[in-house]
Amino acid sequence: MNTFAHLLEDVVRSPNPRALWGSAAARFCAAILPLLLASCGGGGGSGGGGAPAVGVGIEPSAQFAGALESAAPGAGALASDWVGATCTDGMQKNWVRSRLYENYLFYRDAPLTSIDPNTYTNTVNNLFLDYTVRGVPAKDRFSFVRTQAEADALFQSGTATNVGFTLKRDANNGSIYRIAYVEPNGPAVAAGFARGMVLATINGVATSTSIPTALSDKLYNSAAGTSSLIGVQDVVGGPVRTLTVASATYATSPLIVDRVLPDATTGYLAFNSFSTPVGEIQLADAFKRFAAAGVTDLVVDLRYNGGGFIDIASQLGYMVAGQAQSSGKIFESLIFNDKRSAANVSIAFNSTVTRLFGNNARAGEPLSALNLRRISVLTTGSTCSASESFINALQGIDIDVLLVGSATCGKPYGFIQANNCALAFFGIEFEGRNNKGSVTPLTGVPATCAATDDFDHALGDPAERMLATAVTYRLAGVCPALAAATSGTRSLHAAGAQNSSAVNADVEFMTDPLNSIKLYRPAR
Amino acid sequence: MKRFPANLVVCLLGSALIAGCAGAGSRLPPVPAVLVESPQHCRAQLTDAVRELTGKFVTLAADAFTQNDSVVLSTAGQSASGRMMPPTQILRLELAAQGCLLRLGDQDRAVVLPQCSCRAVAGR
Repeated sequence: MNTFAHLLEDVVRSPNPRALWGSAAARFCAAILPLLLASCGGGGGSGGGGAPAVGVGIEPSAQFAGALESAAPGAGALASDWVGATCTDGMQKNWVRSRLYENYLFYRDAPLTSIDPNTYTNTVNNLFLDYTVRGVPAKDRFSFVRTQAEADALFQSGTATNVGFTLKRDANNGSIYRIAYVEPNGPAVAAGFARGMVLATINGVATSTSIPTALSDKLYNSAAGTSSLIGVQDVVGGPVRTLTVASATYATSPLIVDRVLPDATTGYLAFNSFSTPVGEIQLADAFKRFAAAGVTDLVVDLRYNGGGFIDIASQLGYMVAGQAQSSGKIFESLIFNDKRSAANVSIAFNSTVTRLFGNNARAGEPLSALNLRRISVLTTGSTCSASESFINALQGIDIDVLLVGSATCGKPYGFIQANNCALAFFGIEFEGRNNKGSVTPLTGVPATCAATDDFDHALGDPAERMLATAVTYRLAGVCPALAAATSGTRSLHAAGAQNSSAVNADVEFMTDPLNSIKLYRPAR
Repeated sequence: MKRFPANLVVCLLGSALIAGCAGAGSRLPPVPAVLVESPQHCRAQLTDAVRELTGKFVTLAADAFTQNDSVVLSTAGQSASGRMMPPTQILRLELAAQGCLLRLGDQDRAVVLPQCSCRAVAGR
């Protein structure tokens, strides 16, 4: 039995125990079977056969990993940064499979053994997608791969280089493009743009229902100073007038509106991104004002919020729920695959300003909390990722969350970038679970009460359809009849390009998972 | 045993103290700082310093380091995930005996910014 003990020890200590288990098991069977047969006086063999178990024969990814020529900061973006002999086609394909076998959340479902990287004739990128979004379509519509240069593009968090307005389709008016909001610090404000305007033309080309990529790039993906002539209608069907705006680099402001509604007890805030460090301070100050005003009810408008830092979402959760309801509770647990359970981490409801985002002068400052048992959240398909974490987390501590609008995007997952041979791979590595272990559904969190975006009213205007619906629903307890059409909004681009990339990535990815991820590339 | 004149002793001790004070001054740890103003030549030097520290070109906002001693950097890939963990890189502006310094995270290495004027702000 000493041999058996050694075999078990080999398996337990192996960095790739499943792979080793195959050979260990074979050796064990070879050793023990004669004894069993002898003791039983014979017997039949249990056959092997069938598909090979996942992981059999898959070697550790370290064996195939590319080696960098240099350890200088920023290295890896160019093919010449890598040692050629470690980046052959075969090495890269084997690395992809091994890496997914080790880290991919759905490694058990992925066709890692049925698609052999050594006989696969298409590109490395396609192999990655065949293993992930095409291999596990029921669970994964998000994994993607880009060049490392694209993925590594650095920017000052909370800045954008673009024209400074966000376009959405108006479902109630033939899906025309209208300005959803204007960034307070962006160039569009001074140029005269405002929410609700119809995007009639760009440089003379009609764009109300379709925008050529070259023209959308001019607005959102051009160097600072790139000028455009924009024809707008102030109201649907109105006369077209032309405004001039030039792209610029500016600090984004995720808190678009915060106010106390005329009933003097309901607070409203429109928060468009968790990606901006200043958002942490803006939220802290808004809730300080709400607490001072005696707010006892709250509408959180996340209709354009595509996610961002989980820690800022957890602060918002704390400020809604307060100490008594959130103390000792989990905001979100990040759960990795069963081979990496040591990496699992739980994020608490954060009750103070942190040092994570450079807001050092106020680090440690206690956040004001409203201690609410119920809130309303305005949502659309653009409400995604960390925004869904916020909703799911509150539901996990039994806060009554009334969702008004349309279903959220349905993205309970996260990625960790893995670089190899100038490519950056983003396979789903973890899922977020709330305090009760629940996960945001892949179909999104459904709205409690449907309503569509109302571009004819400002955000925070009590007459704006989604807000008005939320307030009515809150007061009457019954979802009012929906006057407008049923479908939600869909993003083209959001101002704050790096933030909007998350929005667009999530929303558009659902319709075209292989080609629609738009990564922000800072202007040079 | 030879006796030193009292005034010489005082002079030597005084010199030693002064030298000690000067040495201590130059060893004062850098403190968090913000820019007094942000002229073009200073911003250009900041951009170069960021490139030197990170190996990447980074577009900074016009008001970078004017309100806060820190600037958080994110990557496009991180942002695209929509569910971001804490930032991996923070640039810090500091005031030291040499003048303004730009540091990446808690690295020992910092880049001096002679074109920029800084003032100390509340500690981190």
